[in-house]
Amino acid sequence: MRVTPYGSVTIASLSGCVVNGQPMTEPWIAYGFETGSCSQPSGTYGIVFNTPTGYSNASGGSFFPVQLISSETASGSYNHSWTANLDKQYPYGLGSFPTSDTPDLGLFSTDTTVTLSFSANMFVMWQSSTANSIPVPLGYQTWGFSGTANCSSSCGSPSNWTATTNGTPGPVGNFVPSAPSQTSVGNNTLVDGYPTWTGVSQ
Amino acid sequence: MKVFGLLLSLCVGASALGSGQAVPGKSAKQPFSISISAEKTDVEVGSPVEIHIRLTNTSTHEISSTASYDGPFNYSYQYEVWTAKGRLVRPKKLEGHRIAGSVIFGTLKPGEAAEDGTELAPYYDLPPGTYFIQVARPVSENSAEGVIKSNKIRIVVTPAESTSTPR
Repeated sequence: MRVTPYGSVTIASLSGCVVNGQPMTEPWIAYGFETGSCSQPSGTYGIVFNTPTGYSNASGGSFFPVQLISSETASGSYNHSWTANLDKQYPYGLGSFPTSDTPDLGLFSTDTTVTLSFSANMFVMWQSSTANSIPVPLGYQTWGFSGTANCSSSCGSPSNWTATTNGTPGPVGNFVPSAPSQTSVGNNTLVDGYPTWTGVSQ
Repeated sequence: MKVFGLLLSLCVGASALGSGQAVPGKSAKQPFSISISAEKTDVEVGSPVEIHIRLTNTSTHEISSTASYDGPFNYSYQYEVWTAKGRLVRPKKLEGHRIAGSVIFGTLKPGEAAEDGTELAPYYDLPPGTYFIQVARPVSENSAEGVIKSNKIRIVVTPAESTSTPR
């Protein structure tokens, strides 16, 4: 599967965010680039997972994405770890390839330094058009990023934040074909090569 | 990833989400339509309330299907939840909420549709009972253009099953 990474972590400022009835003006740290309205931003994805190639798919059917978060942590003036679990929903996102991900995290005016580190496994599933068939995992792509947001004063203003990208974000290794014998990848559990989860990561 | 909080307040702004389809805007033809369904229409209290959202481009031009998430909650949409008696259920007040999620950028060509979803339970307290849910999506970043609303769906939240097993 071909992927296209954005390559850096940025500070985003989005308009129209409302939190519990109050406008939210804090900046965000994002892998990728976000601008515009809070609910429907424009910008550039952090990573794109392109439509799978190399499969004949002669009998019909369709490919769809499933993403498991392997690890996600925030550290610094905000500390939190999210559970290794399903990302959002099954299937992932809009339910088809190409798909993308642009992870983000809100920054508070009380923050000074926040490092966000993220690792996930994007699976390619194939579903035959044959009635009563079940999806089959074809393989997965591990990817991730780490970035740090820093601010020294007036941290409610996005312009006072800077972002540093740590290491090389994007795909980690190559696309790995699914194997029935594989029982885990990162912090995610596989059963007969299938991605499994106990809930949604949060 | 995620924490809770924010958005549902968006619903406050969407208080026009009454029954029916249209919007405050003036456009004669809606550029898209929204159809929703429930993953499960009977949900045990405290369990995920998952909503499938189908967004269809009914215009003659490309539209955005970009979705913003706070965890599993999709805040590209506005939500209204009513009890069986028609009382509006307000979202939880989540103090100190920090949004942690992601954006999935996308566009739809004329005639195309995208399947999306959301999970309401982290943002609404829904004790056992019957609820009606409707979602809406802003036509554009210009709020004057209003929102387009989905159909309404009905879900039933059931009491938790006893964990004790009779011998």
